[in-house]
Amino acid sequence: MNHLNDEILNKYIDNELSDKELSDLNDHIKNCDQCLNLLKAHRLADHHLKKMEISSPSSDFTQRIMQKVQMVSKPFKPKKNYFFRFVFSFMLLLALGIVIFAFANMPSAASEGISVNEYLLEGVSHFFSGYENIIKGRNASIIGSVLSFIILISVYFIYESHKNFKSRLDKLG
Amino acid sequence: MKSLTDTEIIESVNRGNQGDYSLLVDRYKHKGFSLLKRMLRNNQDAEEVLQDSFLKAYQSLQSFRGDAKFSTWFYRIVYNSALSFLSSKRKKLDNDLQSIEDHLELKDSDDHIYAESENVKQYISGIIEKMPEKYAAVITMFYLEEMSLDEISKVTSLSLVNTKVILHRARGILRELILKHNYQEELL
Repeated sequence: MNHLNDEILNKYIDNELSDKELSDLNDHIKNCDQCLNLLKAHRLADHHLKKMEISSPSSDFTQRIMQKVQMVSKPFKPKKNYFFRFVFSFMLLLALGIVIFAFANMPSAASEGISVNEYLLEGVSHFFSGYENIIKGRNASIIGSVLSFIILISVYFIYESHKNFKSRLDKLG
Repeated sequence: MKSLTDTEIIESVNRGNQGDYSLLVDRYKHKGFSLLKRMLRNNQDAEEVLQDSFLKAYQSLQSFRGDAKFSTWFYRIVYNSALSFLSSKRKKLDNDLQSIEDHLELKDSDDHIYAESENVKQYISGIIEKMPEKYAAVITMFYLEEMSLDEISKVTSLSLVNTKVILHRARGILRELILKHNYQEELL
């Protein structure tokens, strides 16, 4: 075997020598003081590198960091699901619109000369008959298409949201 | 009690529990400080840059996607902050020239460190403190943080081959100095 070089010394330290290379090395250093010294010095260097000491910052370091964190931090906004908020608001507005539309076309209770209870009952039946008129004929297909579209989009986002949730659970696991 | 993982702490901080960030600070301040102390060779500078690094990490925490380990991501911030600090302190030199100068500085310091040291342990610690910053960074991450060469190359943006070369050179420099002072007979 040739004299030990950098590559062999580092492989020795990193336990990357094969059994054959290790046995050759051991045979070689029995008869070569120069390489034995090299190996001893290399091992000593590695030994002391492994024993490097961990240093610590001043004792109030964490406290000082946390004070600065409070100063620089914008209030954290947890991630909000704006899509569901949008769909919910849209549905609510749609429902309100339909109710207002139905009641707006009704004559007032005073002009009819009836009690409030009768007026409300009349209003509800008027509302449903108005609704029935709205969803008749061509309107029905337009409303149906819009609602189907909204439902499809919602289902897609619910699926995406579920997928994200699952992947976050997997990461935690 | 089971300690929280880095990911769990980050999620908690991102949910608005700002105070939980102190768990990450406590977890990484010693090793981060050790790395910076060896790169900057000054306790005060090391603390200043570490503080900066923790603040940068906090401000970017929401963008941390968890693809890599938090430690690798954080050490990258620390390492880059140290390099920026050093380059702002001195006129930027060409990397190769800088390495040569640092190496010469190490040789010049050797006699002084040898004279001041009472034993081999003190001597080697003194030499490690004087290693050029990239060498100091690689050996600290390899030996102290027990990071793989692959992780170190991601932190330092050096190629895997260069990272390995730096580690081997650092061992080689120490070996030569140990031989020079005939320390190799010391028992391990």
